[in-house]
Amino acid sequence: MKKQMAVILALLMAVPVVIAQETTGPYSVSAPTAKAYVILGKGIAASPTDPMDFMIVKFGIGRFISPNGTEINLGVLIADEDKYRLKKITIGDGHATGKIYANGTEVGSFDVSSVMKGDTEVWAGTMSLSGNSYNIYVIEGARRIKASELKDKVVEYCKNNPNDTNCRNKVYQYCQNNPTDRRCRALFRAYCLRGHMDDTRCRQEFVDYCKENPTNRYCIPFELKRAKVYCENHSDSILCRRIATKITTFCQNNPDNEGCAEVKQLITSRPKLLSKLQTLRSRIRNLKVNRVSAGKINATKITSAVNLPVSTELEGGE
Amino acid sequence: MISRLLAILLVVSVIFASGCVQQETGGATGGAAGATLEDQAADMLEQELDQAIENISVEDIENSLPE
Repeated sequence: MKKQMAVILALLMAVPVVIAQETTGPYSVSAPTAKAYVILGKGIAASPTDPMDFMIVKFGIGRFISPNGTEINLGVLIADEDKYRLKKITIGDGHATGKIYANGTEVGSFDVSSVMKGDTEVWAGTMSLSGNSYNIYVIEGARRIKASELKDKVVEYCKNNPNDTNCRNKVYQYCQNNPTDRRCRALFRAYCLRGHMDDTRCRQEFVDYCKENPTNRYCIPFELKRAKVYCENHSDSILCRRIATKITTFCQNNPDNEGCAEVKQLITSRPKLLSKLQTLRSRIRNLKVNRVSAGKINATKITSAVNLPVSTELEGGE
Repeated sequence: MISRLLAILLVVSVIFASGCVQQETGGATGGAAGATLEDQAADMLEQELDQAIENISVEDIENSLPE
């Protein structure tokens, strides 16, 4: 009898604990953090057969980190008044594909490629939605890095590159208070160049930087790298011809620019790129450029490349 | 003695379990606590999207047109 009582007692004690675990589990969700904003833009989706059948679209894709460290790519599409989620997203260099969902059900797909038109980035491609096909053109909004975000990026960069001299003296604290400091910007660009150019904040940084420093080694190949996928599939377009002509003319006059070596490397490694512009391709391939210097990308290099003085405030800062 | 203890424990269990069930219902019917990670990420993205496209001007469209 006492034994039975003890078992019942133990069971009764266990029940609330089990219930508590089950109920709090899925609801104690803390917020995810945004690792990258891949696309943030607005544009038009038009039917290829009837141009008057069109929708105003808002298109956003982000890369998020959940509290348990899992990375998820997620997007939102607002077409006229209707909202959709974008999932199963694959993000490449200047290219994104994925599926469109409404209330958890797959209703379409998209495939967009990036092209720089002047200072503006446009994501162009195709979309199928509820059985209809559309051509889609999304103009990217200008989303610059915020001071608090800059600090995080500098922290991440310095954690991975502790030997970079720009990372000394708790530079991240300084950068949070001085987000426009040239060395902080250089650190952010160094972070971007280490595989984060899929983030619109990085691209915007380079758009701004390259306006001021058009001959910088990282700015010469910037447009072509962004339009890489587009200029493989539409290599005879006006845009690709213009990019190729601009680069070729510059590099023939400035063969020592390291950016030209990078362009040559890119053209050589991607036979489809500018494939219908063989004259320009061969002019780039025949450029007598210096080889791209090996070694790590670091903020010192980026800073010295544009002769930026070391920030004196930083030396005495904190 | 044991039966009295058992009764108290039973009452406490019922109170505790009903509290948990109430919390679950509250969370599921609305509020941030009920939002999934996906919902939260989508909300963040929408906010960012609205802020970013606010800055798109006619100038941007002019810039994107071929010269």
